[in-house]
Amino acid sequence: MTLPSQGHAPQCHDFQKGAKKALDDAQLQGLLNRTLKDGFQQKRLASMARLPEYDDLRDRARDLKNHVLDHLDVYLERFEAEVKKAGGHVHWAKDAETARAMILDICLAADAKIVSKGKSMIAEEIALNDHLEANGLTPVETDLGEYIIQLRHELPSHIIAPAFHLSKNQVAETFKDHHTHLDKDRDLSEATVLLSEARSELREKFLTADVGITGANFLIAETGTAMIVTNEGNGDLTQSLPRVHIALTSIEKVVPTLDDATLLLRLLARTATGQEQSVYNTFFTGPKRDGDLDGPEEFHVVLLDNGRTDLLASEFRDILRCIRCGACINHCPVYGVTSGHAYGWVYPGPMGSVLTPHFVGIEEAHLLPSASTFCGRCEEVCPVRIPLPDLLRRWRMRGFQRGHPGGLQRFGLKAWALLAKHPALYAPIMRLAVGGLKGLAGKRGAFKRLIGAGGWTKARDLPAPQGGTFQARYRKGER
Amino acid sequence: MTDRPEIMSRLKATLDKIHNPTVRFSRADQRIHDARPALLPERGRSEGPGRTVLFVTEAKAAQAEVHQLAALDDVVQAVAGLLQEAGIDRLKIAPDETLQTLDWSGLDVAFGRGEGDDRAGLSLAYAGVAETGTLVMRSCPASPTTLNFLPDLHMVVLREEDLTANYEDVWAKLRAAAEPDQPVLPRTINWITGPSRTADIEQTLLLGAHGPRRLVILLIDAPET
Amino acid sequence: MTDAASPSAKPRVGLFVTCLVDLMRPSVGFAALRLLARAGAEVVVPDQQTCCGQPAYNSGDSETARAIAKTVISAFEDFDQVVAPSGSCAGMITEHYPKLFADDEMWHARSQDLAARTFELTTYLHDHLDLNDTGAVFAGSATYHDSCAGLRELGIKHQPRTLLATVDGLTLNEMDDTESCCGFGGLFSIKFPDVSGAIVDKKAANVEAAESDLLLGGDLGCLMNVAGKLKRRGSGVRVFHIAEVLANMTDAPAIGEDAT
Repeated sequence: MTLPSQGHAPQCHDFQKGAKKALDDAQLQGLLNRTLKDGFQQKRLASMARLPEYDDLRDRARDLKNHVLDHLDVYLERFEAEVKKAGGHVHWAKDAETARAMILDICLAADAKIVSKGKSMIAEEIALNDHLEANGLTPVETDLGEYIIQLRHELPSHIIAPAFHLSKNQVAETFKDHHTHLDKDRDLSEATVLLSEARSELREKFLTADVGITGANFLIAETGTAMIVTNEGNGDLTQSLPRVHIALTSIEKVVPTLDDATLLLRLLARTATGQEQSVYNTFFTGPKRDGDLDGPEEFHVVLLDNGRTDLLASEFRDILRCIRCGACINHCPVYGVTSGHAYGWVYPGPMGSVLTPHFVGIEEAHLLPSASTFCGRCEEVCPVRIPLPDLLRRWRMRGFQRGHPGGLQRFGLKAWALLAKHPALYAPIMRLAVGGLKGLAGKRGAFKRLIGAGGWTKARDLPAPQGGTFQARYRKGER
Repeated sequence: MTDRPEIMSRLKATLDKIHNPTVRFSRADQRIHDARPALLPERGRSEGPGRTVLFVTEAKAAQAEVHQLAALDDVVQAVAGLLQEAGIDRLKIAPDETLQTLDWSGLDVAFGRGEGDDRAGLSLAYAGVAETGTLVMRSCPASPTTLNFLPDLHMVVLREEDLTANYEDVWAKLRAAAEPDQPVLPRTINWITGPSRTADIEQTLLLGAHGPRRLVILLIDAPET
Repeated sequence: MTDAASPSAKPRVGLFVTCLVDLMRPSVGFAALRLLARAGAEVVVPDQQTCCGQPAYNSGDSETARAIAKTVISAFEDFDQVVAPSGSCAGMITEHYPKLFADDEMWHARSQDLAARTFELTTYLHDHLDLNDTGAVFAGSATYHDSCAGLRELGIKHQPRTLLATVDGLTLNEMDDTESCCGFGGLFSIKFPDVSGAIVDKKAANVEAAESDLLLGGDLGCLMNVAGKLKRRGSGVRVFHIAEVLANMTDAPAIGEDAT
């Protein structure tokens, strides 16, 4: 199986380095606590309490998504037929390269200069902006968080809150660096002022964009409708002002009916940010109609596969239920200290650790599924009940077959395995080892440093063994 | 250039192992045909005066402002007051007959779509969903979408009789009103729940990201029967 | 469920010691023995046991995990129940052994049989001890960490708390985020020591903020991890496995505590 085309060059192999950098960044740690624990986690709990049917809805959402996956080709065909009936176009792209080329073609045919963009993780996945810029176009992110990281040439650190890792001061600095036509001594210490500045800078781009590109949270087969979910309204300005609207999306996003989309929408904002609904849920069907005073003249949907047909046929199929709410990311103890950039590509946290090895290969990304304690919180909060720890473990199995972990760790595992399979060997050898450690410890209850204890003792003491193994003492009659 | 055949054949190869294609097609087709709500939560089943109260409560919880007016005729005065308070002297109004027939003399108004320099806009909602205090806007010549997003102050007239308990009832209404051979949905349906917002700067909630900073709902009491 | 052929009415319980208890802290095993006897069981400790196989399983080495699982299944074939003083080991047996043998009909059946008879210790004690008279005494306060596997795979939450409520003189203070992972994750703590260290630092801070004499839990791996961090932070909180408190064995040095 050839890898889907990667887009942004992955840095997953540097996870340890990226994690360390995040751990040493006190400001980031503060933002993580504030955003995740005090923010998203609390808000989700409060919002779940307001909907007693929440767990029931999750079961139905899981069943809906499973049903769709079992019938995916039929729903996509129907979606396409309805889009066409409404006067839109559907483009099927098997990989990132094709999708980029298709979008560029549409933009060039429209003689586009400025391309406004609503938030789209698929666009990040295929590294669309770089491609458009390389071909002389000016893509402008309109989601405030995406706009900020676009200016900074960074990847998003979270799929819902892409710039949460930045402080207000960093945002102010970024604006000072890039909005050079404005007075360089202006006071940008207030968040409201920053927002006003972003709003007026971007309003101009909205109004002059030739093409608007959005993602699509869901596609509705019944009516040939694509829909987006935003709080800012940027997606709406992106899709209603320019002459051409392109919805870039992926094949697993389709649902059968408007009611099915509604079911998922009862869960999405609630689980992601704790809102009843995001401010703007917008359903668009085709280009402007006769007599409409506004709306695009052309409407295109670019349907991306990029390896999803492989996922559907694989043991990782369940990840295709993901509705990109970010709850798993918000509740992951590992992400909660490493933040998103350590994951080295587009999708972080638990869902990212299941998806990324598929896109960039397990050789490059094997540390990601390993970087989990399997605490199970992700599965607990997932609105479509994806068994994330199981999927991560399956990646570990593939990684193991390819030699990961290697070196000393693999040797240690093999040695342990050998002993564990042979109790008659295990007992005496372990008795010796335990005795040795106990002797080293003496009266001390724990080691501050121990050769071979790896990084454990860097951050914490290692409790010493009590002395004697249970089996040995029990056999001697101790009770 | 299209990869449709390749993508579809890969899907078919995988899915044929689960259901044969005829079964798969008819089940999907049937499901679309049977479109129905999965589960309507309790909060999505409000009725009567309780429905109105719920709508108002939820809308306010999402930072929308709600003014309850006795009749459509009271809209002009309410709007005039809001404009004055906000220090805005011009108003763009959706070219809907209901709004056009009101007496706007004394105010500087224009009818049409939203433009970049519109500071205030007035629209008429297609429906309001009590479950979450959500406005449903339907694009058409009388209701341009841009007017919902460009003005800083967005005022929306909503008739109490257009309140529904849940979103599904609005879909049913749209399906029932569809012309044969015409798409069921217009170019755009907006669900609007409160004014535009962002928390992208240090998680501080700020209103008026790109869309309106203020959303004012003018809820017109249902006529006495 | 008793063996009808046996003259004794007591259930025959096999103790799954767990590798960490066996090697690092046998007192937890002895506490379990006493408590299970008190709960009316005839307890036997098979010697053909080493480990549940989780380190191999979670490293992606399913082949080794299966081999180890087979020795466990065989060793514990003849018991009415099997009890383990660890949520993660019990969960390995009840939730994951059947998955390991999904493609092997015979071993799948045997693993399901074992899974149906296997219990984590606090769950077993909660259901079989006379909760009006557990005989446990401790004058002081404790806070309780909910280990992830036990909590999320086995639903262990109220059982240890109900048991602690029977300890004469003990006050239970709930810390913030009892259900948050402590960062142990088995081999994770060694593969990603810095990240693990940062996570356990948060847990230790919550433990200290609960201002209790003891930290208790049901999984020795978690407890060793948190105890190590508490010690590094200079905290005076004493860390025990809940079984040790229930069996009145808190005079001995706590986890990580120096001998006097």
